[in-house]
Amino acid sequence: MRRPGRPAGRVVFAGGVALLAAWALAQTTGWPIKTALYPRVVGIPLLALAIAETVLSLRGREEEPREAVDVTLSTEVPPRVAGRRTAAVIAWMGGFYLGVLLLGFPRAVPLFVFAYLRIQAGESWVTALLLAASAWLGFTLLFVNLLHVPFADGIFWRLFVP
Amino acid sequence: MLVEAFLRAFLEVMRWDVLSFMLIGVIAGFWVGLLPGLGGGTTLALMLPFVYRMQPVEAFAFLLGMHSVVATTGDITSILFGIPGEGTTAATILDGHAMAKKGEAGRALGAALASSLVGAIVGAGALLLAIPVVRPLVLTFGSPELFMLAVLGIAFIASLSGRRPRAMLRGFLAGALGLLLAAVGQDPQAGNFRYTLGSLYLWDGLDLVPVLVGFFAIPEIIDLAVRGTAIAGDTPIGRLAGVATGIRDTFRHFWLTIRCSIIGTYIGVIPGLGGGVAQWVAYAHAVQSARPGADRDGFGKGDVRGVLGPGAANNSKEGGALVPTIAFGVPGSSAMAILLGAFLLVGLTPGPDMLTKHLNVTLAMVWTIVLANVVAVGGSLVFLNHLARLTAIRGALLIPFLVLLTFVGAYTANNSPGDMAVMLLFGGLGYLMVRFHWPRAPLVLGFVLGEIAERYLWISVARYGAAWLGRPVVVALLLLTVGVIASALVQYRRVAIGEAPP
Amino acid sequence: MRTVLAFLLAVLLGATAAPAWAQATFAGKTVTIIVGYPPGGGYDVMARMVARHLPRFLPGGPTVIVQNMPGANSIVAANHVFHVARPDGLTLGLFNRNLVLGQLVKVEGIRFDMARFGWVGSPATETTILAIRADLPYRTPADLRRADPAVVVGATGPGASTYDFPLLLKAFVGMNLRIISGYRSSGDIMLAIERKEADGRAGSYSSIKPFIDRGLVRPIVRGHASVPAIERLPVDEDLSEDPRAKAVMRLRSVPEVVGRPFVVPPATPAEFVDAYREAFRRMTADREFLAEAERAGFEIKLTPGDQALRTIREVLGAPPDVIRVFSQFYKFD
Repeated sequence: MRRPGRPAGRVVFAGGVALLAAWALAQTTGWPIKTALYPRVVGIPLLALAIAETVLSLRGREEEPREAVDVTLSTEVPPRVAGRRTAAVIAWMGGFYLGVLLLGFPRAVPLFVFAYLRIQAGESWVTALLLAASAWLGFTLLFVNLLHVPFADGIFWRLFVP
Repeated sequence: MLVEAFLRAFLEVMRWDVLSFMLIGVIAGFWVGLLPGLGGGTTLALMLPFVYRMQPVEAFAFLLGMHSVVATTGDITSILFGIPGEGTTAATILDGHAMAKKGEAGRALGAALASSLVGAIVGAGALLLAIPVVRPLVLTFGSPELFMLAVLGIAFIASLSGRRPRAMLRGFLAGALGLLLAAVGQDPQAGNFRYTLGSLYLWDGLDLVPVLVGFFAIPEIIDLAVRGTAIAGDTPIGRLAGVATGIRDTFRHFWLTIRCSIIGTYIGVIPGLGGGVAQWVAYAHAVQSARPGADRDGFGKGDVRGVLGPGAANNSKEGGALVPTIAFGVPGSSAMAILLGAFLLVGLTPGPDMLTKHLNVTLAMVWTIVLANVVAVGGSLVFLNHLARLTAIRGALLIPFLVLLTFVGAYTANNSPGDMAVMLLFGGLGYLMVRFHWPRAPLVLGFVLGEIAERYLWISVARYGAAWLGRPVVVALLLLTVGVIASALVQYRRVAIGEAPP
Repeated sequence: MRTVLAFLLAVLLGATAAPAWAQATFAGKTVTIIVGYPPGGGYDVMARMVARHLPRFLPGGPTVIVQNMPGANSIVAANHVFHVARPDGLTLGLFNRNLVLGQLVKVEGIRFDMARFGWVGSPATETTILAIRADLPYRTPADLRRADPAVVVGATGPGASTYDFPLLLKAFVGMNLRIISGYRSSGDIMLAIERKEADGRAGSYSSIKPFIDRGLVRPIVRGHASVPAIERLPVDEDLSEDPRAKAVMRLRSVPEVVGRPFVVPPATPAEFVDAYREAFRRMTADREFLAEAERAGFEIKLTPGDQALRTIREVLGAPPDVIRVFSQFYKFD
């Protein structure tokens, strides 16, 4: 079965882009011409195209998805399972982002790798620990010791450790 | 005379000390290319202190050896995992990673490496051929011509958008969105802030690296999680090899590879177009040169030509980019700016002298580019079939590492949390676009070219008034642009007549 | 509960921290130089060169590393060093020399006070010059006043010396210049000069020098800061009689005396500041350092910390009417 993307989603997405274009155009009021000309010249067609796409999506006509010169999402998995898995992986990435902000990169990296492997992938403790340790080691050696990338301390440490 | 100097330069590069510096460079560059968090420019800067005590030929064997394989191995990461190994290898993902998902990773890798080698040789050859004509070659391109080149590039959006009206609508929509996103940051004329939302991070606009990393990697990670299999699905391990097929593909589409190499070289020669552009124009050209109709529908779904085009162009670009650096002391990219610093450190002043007094160094550079790529591609061939097996690893095991690479790869662009936010934002946008069948390539094309178009249009008008429109190269490029758009429209008409819309 | 916990942690960590040093020693420590620009530019090259040589001149010979924190013309890095970095003497900052002008015209996003940093000093000056194509008949500022048609000067944009320097010359000295801005980099302007799209450009002497040596352009006028090679070039502020115009041009170019400003976070103990100042003094007299700096194209000329701080205070203490005129021309970016 093909997942054509529910019409509602398509409409919201296209509508969102139209709103973005409208906002971008509205922002240009009061800007000097040298600043405003370019965003106006590209913003107006963007708004027109986005509105057209929104209207067409509302009318519910979807073409052959292979039309776009781009990859297509796989369709072998039943939509319900796919939705669940999508939500899960997005949550994990969001969690990693929060982890980095709170704890800082060097601590969040092994924690995330371990947690994902143990909880989401259901790997054994040993595998999960081993891979987390190697991720941490590779990360530390390369980015911290060799390249001196400045990784900010997480917010957590800034708040609670004076 | 030139031939003799050329051969002498070869012997100079083959000296064992020079050769060993080059090998060290190639090995370093190999890893720099593979890892998304490591950019070619950054690494060059880190290596710069080492060249203080080297001879010029040694120094360039080392630096250029490293620099010229980065784009080659960057393709490997793009193909295997869908994460751009370098900002310049993102276009390889579209078809390369799609092939990996079909279980054709080996073939895609073979094609990418073989086309990279062809591209590198063409680029180096261009550097060599350019030596007598370098001044007119670079100097015919003033601001008006640069503006028209950007417009021509933007016109390629038409051919990247698909055939039917609705697909075209979405292609142009994506392209316009990319053009608008290019407006973020300080405007190039008055220096006012546009859409910076009060954030210091956005002063410099959206950085290409986190944008590309998020835009392409996140949808692939989500898709991998959804499928719940390995990247190559259920393809048996034995069938993943196919490097030889990929190499044969390069020769089957040899003219395409050569054409894309030339496109890359030319874009490299012209300073001011930036590193991200060549691969996308080459990709667009590969799509456009396919016969309209079914022949074109495979792009984005794993057509090997979509690998060959950008694979060749992102390598040939580097040879081309050396031309203005050497001949005028004007770098075309950040990596070239650092290389320029290396010139001064070893006591050379780039400029006309490099083509006469120091011709041997210039020619040695040509050889270094070729040899470094031969070594890198030859060395990689040994591993490629093994590398292809990485696509048979269970997705669940791979995903945390891919997420890690994606985040670190974005963060190291500016060492700022803002990089991660941009990466995630564009990840979301990329996912929605794939899901609702909006093509992503036009957005990137608009994004990388929009700023150039705006910048040079203002300069052209301020400098020449309306007279710039009459310049011969401008007129020629204008006609070419009309041709590109017309061919897309004609083909749309043909489709409309030939097949009834569904 | 949380305050108690924080207190306990503080006591615990405080107890383990070493007592205040009487004299700064760096043995076994790592000093970090935070640069406000990405790898490869002039500031970064300077930072890495200092990182290689500085250990020899600091007591205890620490490891010195460079971290890049680009963004908003190094405002991001300066905010970080001012507020976040610990004042433990192990962090140095190297930022845009014009941040002080940004502070003067109250740029949004600046959350630091340049005068409150601990000033180590600047190992180099940066002189701004205006150079015009050598095949044109202009040799002196007077020639440029009389020029007809206007001389086309390529520029990047407001806030850069490529733009501000000719703008002030045009406004206050009456040079007949046509400033075309929007070029991506000073290199791109150089190319525009090669193809005769532009007639000249302003910029740092060190970046234009190769093109002067090659005979493409010739220097016409310079800013206040200087190095021996161009000492005899006319100075911009001498070309005007109006005291306010002089003051405005002076304001623009004074930060260039502190061309590569090295600072430490405010509240860094004085013995560290002293140790760094002494190290910079000896480093900039070191033959090895000087040889390397010359090859990298720097105009090595030490501005010691106390003098740098005086310069910064001079800028920030400019009279309001001068600031007002200056603000009309200057836009930090």
